[in-house]
Amino acid sequence: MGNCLTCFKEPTQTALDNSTQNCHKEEMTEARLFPAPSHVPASSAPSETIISNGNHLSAPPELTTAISRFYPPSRRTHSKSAPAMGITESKPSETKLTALFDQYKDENEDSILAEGIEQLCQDLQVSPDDFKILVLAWKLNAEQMCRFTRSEFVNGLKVIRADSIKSIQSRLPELVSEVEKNDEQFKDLYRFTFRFGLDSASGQRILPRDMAMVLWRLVFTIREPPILNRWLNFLETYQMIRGIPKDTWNMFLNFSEHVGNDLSCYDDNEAWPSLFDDFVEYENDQANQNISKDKEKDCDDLLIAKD
Amino acid sequence: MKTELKMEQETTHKHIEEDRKLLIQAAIVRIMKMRKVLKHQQLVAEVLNQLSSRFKPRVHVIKKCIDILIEKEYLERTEGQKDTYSYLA
Repeated sequence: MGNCLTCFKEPTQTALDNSTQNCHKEEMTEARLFPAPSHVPASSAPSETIISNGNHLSAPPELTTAISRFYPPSRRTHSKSAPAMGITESKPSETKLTALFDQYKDENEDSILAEGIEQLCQDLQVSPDDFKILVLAWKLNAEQMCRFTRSEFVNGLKVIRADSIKSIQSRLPELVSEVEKNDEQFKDLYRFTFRFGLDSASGQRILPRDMAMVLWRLVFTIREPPILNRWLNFLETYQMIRGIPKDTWNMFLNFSEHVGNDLSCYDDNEAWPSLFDDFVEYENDQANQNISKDKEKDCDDLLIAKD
Repeated sequence: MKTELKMEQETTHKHIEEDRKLLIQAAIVRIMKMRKVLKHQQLVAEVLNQLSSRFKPRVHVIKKCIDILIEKEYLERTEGQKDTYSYLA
């Protein structure tokens, strides 16, 4: 990969979408795994707010970034003494979050767009196509790839208890290991990944095949099922796929756990999405072809030996 | 001349297949509307039953139609019971 996730969005996606209606919003409830923090009133206009270290919020972004690198966040919170780690033990500061957001946000839109995200990733010292960024987007409940709105960013970071580059950096590996161990969380991340890959601006409902393949690889950075490579190979070769519907995506997790690495326990009379039937048939055909090729080879060898 | 006929036959065949898909989907919706919740095997059996006077659909095509209807949100899989479908009003 090696590209920012933006590069995965191709203009031809919309051609595969066979629905003209806008997709209705999914319930967001399932993404909220931590209790919501108590409401912090929004900070007033930036020019009037002074952060505790004496900087006005209207200070140029480079200055604030420079300062954040020299001083650990704990010294800047004027509430109780926080330990000198990257994590704010006290309530994440709304002002800091807003300031952080403003550093990366786009000029024209009140969101962090692709450029800002790349910069954010650079500052976090994480590649934009790293699994950690997917986890971050999931925790922020980002509706769309390459875009963090103000509320997604600020509220999401509050939930994970981070309000600075450093605290995000230290929380990310923890979040990754949590999701690796916890089945329910991983399932939630997995289902999120599908929605995340859709082009919500065009009301897309079906994930284009190429995007799906990329996202499968990404989400299975951890907990990779044995069947994944064969599945992706099938998707690559089998031409008759118009895209991956949500149910097929979701059920793939169940499917991969059910079959392990052995497709013989697959029963196409069960309620699996039809694409899995096609996959198993394809794999069986491949296997049969290999058997007959081996038989031919054995026969050839026998004939040669006879001479 | 022969190729033209063949092409015409193929087009007709395609139309028939498309029409049949629609008939299958209509049958599924009718059945699910009545039953509300139904296990996969039962749904397939009832579809075959309902359409038996017209044609015998292949189970693979029925499954494809179920996929389509799930995508269009006429039905959903009952959460926690992967083998059961629920009608979505």
